[in-house]
Amino acid sequence: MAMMKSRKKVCRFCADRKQTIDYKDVRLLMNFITDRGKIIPRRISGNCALHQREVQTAIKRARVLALVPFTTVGL
Amino acid sequence: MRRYETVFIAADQTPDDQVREIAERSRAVVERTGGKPIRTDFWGRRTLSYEIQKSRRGNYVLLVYAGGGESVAELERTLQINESIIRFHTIKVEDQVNPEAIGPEESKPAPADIFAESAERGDRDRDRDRDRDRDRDRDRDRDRDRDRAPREEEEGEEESEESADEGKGE
Repeated sequence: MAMMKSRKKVCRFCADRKQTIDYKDVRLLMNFITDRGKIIPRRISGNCALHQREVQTAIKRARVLALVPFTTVGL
Repeated sequence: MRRYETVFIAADQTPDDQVREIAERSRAVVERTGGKPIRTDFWGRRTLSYEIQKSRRGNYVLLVYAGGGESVAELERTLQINESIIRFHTIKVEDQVNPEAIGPEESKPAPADIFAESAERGDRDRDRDRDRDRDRDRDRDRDRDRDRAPREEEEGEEESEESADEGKGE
């Protein structure tokens, strides 16, 4: 308990209900992608299960349209 | 009826009038199959995140419409035939929509990120041309080293992720 340093993370989409998740919103999705193109896991991003799932499908849709990379290795 | 969004990407060298014509014909296809076009957004040219059919750039168009599965099937069939279209993707946005309740919508601007890019395109292209030379050198060097050294980058990343986890833990 003495070592407890990290703040409790709150899902940003639960905190801000107006914020929608859309595959066209590249700027938003970039927050949930590493520079290698991987989707940032929930334990790091702090998203709740519902919103992480929405982010996940949005990123996958955006990848198909080359809005967001599958990977940045070997390009 | 359902509400659908279809984004298609035309190859970079396709003239703008031709892209508009494809969009116009797509609207006609939707109407012919009993659907209702809602709006068409032209996002303009954008750098692709990865190469598609040897193209690094593409011209994006978003079609929003209401209709049934026939509209989607017919639209995708016509897009598939056109050789200047390098990618298309359809997404169901809403399941039960009343076609009478929706009219045509104002077209919305391209996603912020894309918009920003087209504004500073001049600089970017110049940068890219310069970078390309540099990248080529770097690629050559990497190929030379490939046999000798294993990919250190990969291991580096795994490690950094692990330590990130520890940092965030309690």
